[in-house]
Amino acid sequence: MIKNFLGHCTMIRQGIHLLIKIEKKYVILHLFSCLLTPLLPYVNIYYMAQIINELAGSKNPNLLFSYIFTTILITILLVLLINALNYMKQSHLDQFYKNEKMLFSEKTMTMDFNQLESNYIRMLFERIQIESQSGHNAYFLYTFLGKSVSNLVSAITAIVISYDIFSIQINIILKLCAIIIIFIVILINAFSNYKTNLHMLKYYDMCVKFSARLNFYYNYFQNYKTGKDVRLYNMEDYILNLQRQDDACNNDLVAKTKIRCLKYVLVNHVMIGILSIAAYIFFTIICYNGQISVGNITKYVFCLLLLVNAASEMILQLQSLIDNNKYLKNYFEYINIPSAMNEGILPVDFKNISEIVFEDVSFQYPGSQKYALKNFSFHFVKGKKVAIVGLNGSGKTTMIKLMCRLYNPTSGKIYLNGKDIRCYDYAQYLNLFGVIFQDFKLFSFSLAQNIAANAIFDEDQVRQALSKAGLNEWNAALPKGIHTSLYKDFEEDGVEISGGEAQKIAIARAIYKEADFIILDEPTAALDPIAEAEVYTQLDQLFEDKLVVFISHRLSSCLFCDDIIVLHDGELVQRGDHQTLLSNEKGNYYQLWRSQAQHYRENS
Amino acid sequence: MTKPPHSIYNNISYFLKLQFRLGKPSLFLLIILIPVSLALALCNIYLPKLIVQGILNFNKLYDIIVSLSILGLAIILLNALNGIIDTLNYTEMLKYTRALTFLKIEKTIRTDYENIESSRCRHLLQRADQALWTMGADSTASKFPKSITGLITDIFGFILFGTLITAISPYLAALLIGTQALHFFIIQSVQKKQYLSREHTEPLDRKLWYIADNSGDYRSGKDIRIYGMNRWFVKLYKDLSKERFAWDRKFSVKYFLASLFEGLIILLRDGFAYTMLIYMTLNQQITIDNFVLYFGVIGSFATWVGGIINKIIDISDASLKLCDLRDYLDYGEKNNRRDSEKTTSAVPVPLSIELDNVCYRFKDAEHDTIQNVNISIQPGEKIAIVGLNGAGKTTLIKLICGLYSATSGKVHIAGKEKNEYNIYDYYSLFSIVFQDFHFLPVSIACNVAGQEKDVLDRDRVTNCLKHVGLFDAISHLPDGQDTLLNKQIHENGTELSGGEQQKLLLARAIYKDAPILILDEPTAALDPIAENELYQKYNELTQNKTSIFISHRLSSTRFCDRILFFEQGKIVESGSHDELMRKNGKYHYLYQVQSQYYN
Repeated sequence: MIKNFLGHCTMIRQGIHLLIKIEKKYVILHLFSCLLTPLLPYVNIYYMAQIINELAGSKNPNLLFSYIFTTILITILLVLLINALNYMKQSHLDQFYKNEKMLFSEKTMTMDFNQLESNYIRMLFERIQIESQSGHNAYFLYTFLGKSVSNLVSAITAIVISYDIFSIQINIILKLCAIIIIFIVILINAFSNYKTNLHMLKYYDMCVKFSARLNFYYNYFQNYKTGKDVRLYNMEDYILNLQRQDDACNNDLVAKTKIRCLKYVLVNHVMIGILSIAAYIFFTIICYNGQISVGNITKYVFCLLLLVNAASEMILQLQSLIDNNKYLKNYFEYINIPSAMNEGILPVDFKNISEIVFEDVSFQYPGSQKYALKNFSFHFVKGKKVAIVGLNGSGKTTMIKLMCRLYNPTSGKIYLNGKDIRCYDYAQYLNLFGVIFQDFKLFSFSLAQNIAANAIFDEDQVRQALSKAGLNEWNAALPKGIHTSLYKDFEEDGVEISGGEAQKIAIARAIYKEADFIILDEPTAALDPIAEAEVYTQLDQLFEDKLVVFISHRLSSCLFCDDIIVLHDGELVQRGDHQTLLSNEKGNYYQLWRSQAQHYRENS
Repeated sequence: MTKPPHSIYNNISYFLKLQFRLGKPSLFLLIILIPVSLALALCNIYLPKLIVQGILNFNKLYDIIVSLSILGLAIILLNALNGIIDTLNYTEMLKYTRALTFLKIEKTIRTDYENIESSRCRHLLQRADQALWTMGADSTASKFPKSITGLITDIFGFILFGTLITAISPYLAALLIGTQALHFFIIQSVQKKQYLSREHTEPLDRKLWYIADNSGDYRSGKDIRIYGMNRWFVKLYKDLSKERFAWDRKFSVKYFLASLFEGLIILLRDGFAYTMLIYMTLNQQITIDNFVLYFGVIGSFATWVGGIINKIIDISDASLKLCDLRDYLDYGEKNNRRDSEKTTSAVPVPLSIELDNVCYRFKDAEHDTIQNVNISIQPGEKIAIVGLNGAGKTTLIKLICGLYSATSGKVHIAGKEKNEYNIYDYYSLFSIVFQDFHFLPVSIACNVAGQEKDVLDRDRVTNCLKHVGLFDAISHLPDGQDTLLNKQIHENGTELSGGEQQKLLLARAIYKDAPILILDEPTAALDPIAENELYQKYNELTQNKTSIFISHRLSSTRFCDRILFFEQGKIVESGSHDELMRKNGKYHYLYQVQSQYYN
């Protein structure tokens, strides 16, 4: 029990620290605004009672007018202060949301790659997104803090300005009864609000299940390219039906949830209504007996209602605070995912890089029984060009991912210059590689930033990289040169790039990095024969003294390589240069080559 | 600011009609809410007066309590009714927004393909999405009718309470309206400025979201790690967000200055009103209980006037946003959607394809992408189209299969012009494999058939999967052909590799079995063995069909009857492989470049 309580406290403390980290100013402004806002209705309630009492009593004009001006003055001051706080707060709120989102993006960018690829982590991320959107996590915490302050202020003010209620002389039993009734109303009110919340939360949880699909379809329709398939395969009715089913399901869910909530809503309305009438009658009777003045009736009733509201709201909030911790647990699980990659500390000696050695390396993807790579051993020597060939799914890309340590091997070791790559500083180790993945990404910012992969860059180096990648002429024709934006997402004069150009920009990016190990995964799949031939010749010139690893289904690329690795079902089945491998007519390489080359033989 | 395409009145009638069609209950609930809120407001103000009156007039306690109870009961009932309506309307409004969203989706799915590819239409779609974006139960689209009925309520309240106030002093009514209106204009001028500044802030916001989204996207993960891009994105993010904040700060100062004026208005309005009321009470022009009543009436009156103003702002704001949704829903169509005459079944297969002086220019482009192309493809002919990246091959395909309409010139299939066909009949003539992969998160079989589970032809799916060499791999999956695609949506779903996806696209094309088969780079992701298998089967696949094959792998052109060499949107060479090789022209050169390595 105590342990449980302490656990909740730690979580809340962590949460509050997080709020401060995300946007401290917002939290502070929000709290101040919540401190002042609840005071506003009480100004009117209090002075209205004074005025009516005076009017019904001695009718002193001076006193009356002074009441009026105090009311107005206090109101104005409060309104101005609250406005000032709210306007300031508003601009920080936007920052708050954006910073929170970026906090997650930063985590996503820096967590270990295997975690990024793991389904569990991805689902966790999706969940947190939805939970945050349905009002949990950080959003809940700052509203909780705000509401706690304002409810507390409201409750205290209600008691303070109606303090004279205690001077009423009535039967002690009646008094007790009144207090007990008020407590019961508060509890019932809090309880039914809590129930309503629970139903809504359940509904949001169900929405989580829908949301991945909803997101998919949203993107599917946003991406106009899907429209080709939809039209040519007559899928219109099919897709609309899927959508209709989802909608009906969702509508049903909301309707049911809301109907369930309705009884609690009604209980609250009726109960509070009865309470207020009872209070009116009660105070009227007391007033009739001359114990309180007529103006105070409404004052007491209003204060009572505000007090009930504030108290039940506080109970509800406390309960929700504990519920929120359940969500915060997920939230922090993601934020605090530990990194296994960053353990190495050995600096990389960039000047004397000579080789990467795979020693009996095997790898299974998490959750998979099959070996994606099995007992793989190989010496990659700087200055050599190595091709990796094999069927789809034979482990080529997996080997690349292991080499640049996006994954750690399941068994076996990889050495750089004789030392296990796990010993090296991870960031420095990654610096050794220039990889052009099959699905490389470019971003809608300037060409130069894309090439430097940074906001800060050396213009000359960028230009050099461009010219080496064969983009000199293309670059010269751009409206703003290297400062031209890629794509038209943000800039009207941005440039749309073809697959071939994108490929070259990706190569330029690898050149700019001056990496020692260059890896190309299917760089020519989308290229026409001329562009393909260009890439082959470029590789020779550009990366003369580097290690180049080349994956391609176009076996012509093997001719340029010093060494060829043939993978089959994750195992190395053949190696050697083109001529040697071709001479073995029973080998896999011969088969692959034949199946492609036969179509080019004249008269075959 | 340019003038919005539809006036507010016009939009009100358009969307109310739409709501009448799609969400009658929600409209009905909104309308009965009007008298309920008015009655509630009246009762709430009348209650305190009742008590003060009773006590100061020394009425019988019993009478006071009875009238108090009756009024109180009315309030309870009205509140309960209000709660019921609110609860029901939450659901109904959500339904209405969904129904609108469904209309939008249907438009996206059925509109001419050229429309959704055009940037103007896509822009409209994005904005339409904003109008339908739901927070809680509210979207701009659902707030619109709420603001309208809210405005009606406020106007009634204004008239009702205004009459009460005018009864004691018309000047007071004038003052209350005047000060509120002044406040409105000041706030509105700031709002207008802020609205105009959106031109600066919106791009910043879009960039910020873009960074946050893309850097958080796992698909960018490899590049981000290898190239250390986190530094890049964090730096950009910080800079942009500073810039964005400066704008917000500027406007928060402006709004505050405007709110200083609000203070002045309170001083003026309340000071005058209350002084007058007290003065009148002291002079016994009104009784104390009426003082209480008027005190409440004046407070409410300000709320009604403020409500009217705010709702007008809301309505005009929402109307502006809804223009985009409306324009999207009503976006013009070019294709023939008249009743299908089922012309297709009558035509004997295979079909001929004829392009007659066809030109195509993308909107706002300076040159034609396709320039005066004339092609005549015989029924059953196998055509290969070859050319460098960007020569216009894919554009040509889109013109033939009806996704694009020619800027000038005509496309004939089986001797009939494209527009003589109903567009859906026309689409049904083609089986196409495009370069990009898109699958629905449904089962593999459903993806192949493009149909629901209970209508698709099992045997045919099996056959198609066997044809493309996917059958074995898919049989090994836990649910076989019923395995769901997309792991992110379905926990027990599966993800296919690039090669497998390409094969699945091919299976889908075979399943459709249309008279014209078009393959655009169908082997890019295939390994040499799979590529070879497709070539071997090509003759079988194209039996009794007219076919077009686009590929950078020139080995594929050899099983085609005729090769068209494309360059900058024009056919520059045409003939069989042997003819073109003998010609020693561009095709010959391209072929040499690629085949040299294999000889």
